[in-house]
Amino acid sequence: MSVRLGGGRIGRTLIVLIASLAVVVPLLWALRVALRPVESYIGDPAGLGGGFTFANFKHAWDAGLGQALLNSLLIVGIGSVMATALAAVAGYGLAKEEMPGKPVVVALSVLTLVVPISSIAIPLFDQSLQLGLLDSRPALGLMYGSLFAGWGALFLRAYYATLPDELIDAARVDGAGSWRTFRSIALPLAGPAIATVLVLNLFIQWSELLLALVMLPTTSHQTASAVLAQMSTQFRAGGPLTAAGLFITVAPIVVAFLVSQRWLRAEVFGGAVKG
Amino acid sequence: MLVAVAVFALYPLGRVVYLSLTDYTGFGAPRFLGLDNYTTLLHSTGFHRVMLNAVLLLAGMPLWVGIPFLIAVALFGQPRAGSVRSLLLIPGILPPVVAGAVFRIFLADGGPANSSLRGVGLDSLALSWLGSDPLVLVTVVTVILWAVMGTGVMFYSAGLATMPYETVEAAILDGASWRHLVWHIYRPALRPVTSFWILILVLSTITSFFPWIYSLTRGGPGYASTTIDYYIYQTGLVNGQYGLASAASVVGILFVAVVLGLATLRMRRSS
Repeated sequence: MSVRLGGGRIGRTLIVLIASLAVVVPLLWALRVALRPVESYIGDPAGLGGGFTFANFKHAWDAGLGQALLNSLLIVGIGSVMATALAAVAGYGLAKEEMPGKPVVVALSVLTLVVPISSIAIPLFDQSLQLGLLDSRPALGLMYGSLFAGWGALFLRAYYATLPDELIDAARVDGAGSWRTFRSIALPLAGPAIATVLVLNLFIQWSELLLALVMLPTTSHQTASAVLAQMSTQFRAGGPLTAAGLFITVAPIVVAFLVSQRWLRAEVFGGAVKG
Repeated sequence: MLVAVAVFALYPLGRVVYLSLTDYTGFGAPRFLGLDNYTTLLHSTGFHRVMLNAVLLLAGMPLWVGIPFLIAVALFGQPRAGSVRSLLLIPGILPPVVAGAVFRIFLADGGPANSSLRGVGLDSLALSWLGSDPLVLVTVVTVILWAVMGTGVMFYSAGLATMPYETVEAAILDGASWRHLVWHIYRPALRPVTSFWILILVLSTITSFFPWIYSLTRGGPGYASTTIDYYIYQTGLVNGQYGLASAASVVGILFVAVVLGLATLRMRRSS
């Protein structure tokens, strides 16, 4: 028996080791490239030597990423706050309130979740063009806010549903209206789940590429993801520039995850897994 | 609020079906063509390849599900499992464009991966990872695995943490090997997590290969790695054939519907 378990232990350690290396090596390598002088990279792309420089970060920033970062902050700021607020209210209504049209809200939410964005990109582009909203950063924020609210509403509905009905009823008996009950009972209790929706929205919207490429034709309006994507395919020898750019692009997301880490727990997905 | 969602979600859905029946190019009024665009797609060898790729990329599913499961189980109860899980999660918080960019440089024909392989005499392994067909599809599946692995491990670990330990203990006392535990104890116990994780993958990856393809291969070589969403982008938004791209959009919706149907069937059967 000990032999068998021992074999299991070696196998397990090996699996964990390989997975960890597979994750870490490309990231460390990218960091090294970001800090290498361009000349030494071109001379020897596989090498690790050649000294350290922050010049690539400055170049990437000046090549449009600085402005793009601000654009992304504006767009994703609008979009993620809107999507989260809609989801928090709609999810509560679906879980705990008597209201007409619930099936419609659920159907719409499922629709935004299931239909690929690429499949509605053509009419969205056409609509924006005709409404004069093309190239408008706030308009893209509103679009994100609408398209990415649905999954959050469904997710939060499952979470609100786990709150005991007695709690809600007690507040009602005490004379609190729907809004009051939502704000002072349900909202605080759903804090971790709502934080999860907000952070995942930040991530999803920060990563969105198709609409970002299509809706903002003016170079100075583009998002960080769009600028980075073009960097990596335009400059074939631009390894260090792209590598530096990707660390700049990802920095706000990493900060968001670190700041929110204490609220984020895989357990909040419990309701969804069971449902 | 409903209005905003309807404007951005419901109206475009109807509109894309309508446009798919026209010759719309963005200027003037759309002219009705009937099913001509669909016939064009049906006879286009390029689009045949796009549909083949859609099916072939689904073959990534067992890897994207199986490997995180295996890692989570291997990590279960190990010292420092928490730190390893956090480490594995790092690629999961990188936008796909960023992860794609890392591997775009790493795997380029004259890039560091191949230079290193040649440096240690493994010239025959220095392949054109992003530039040859069908290897490029394997590369795309693997890069996505790299990115989603940690998230899968997180979900499976959360599932393992809520598992009653007595069943595991009893099996170990009965002399069960680790392989037996994995297949006959953990796998069935984690079935709900697997269903959930498959759903997440379908909704986040299968419906949206675009950022991966755009940053890694731009659909090439030829149509070898062109996905439905990249085809829509290229045909409609770059080349201006809105009618044709709308028809591809409708096909894309139907494809996701079929995949979701299959995933639901699988869930029904296993529960």
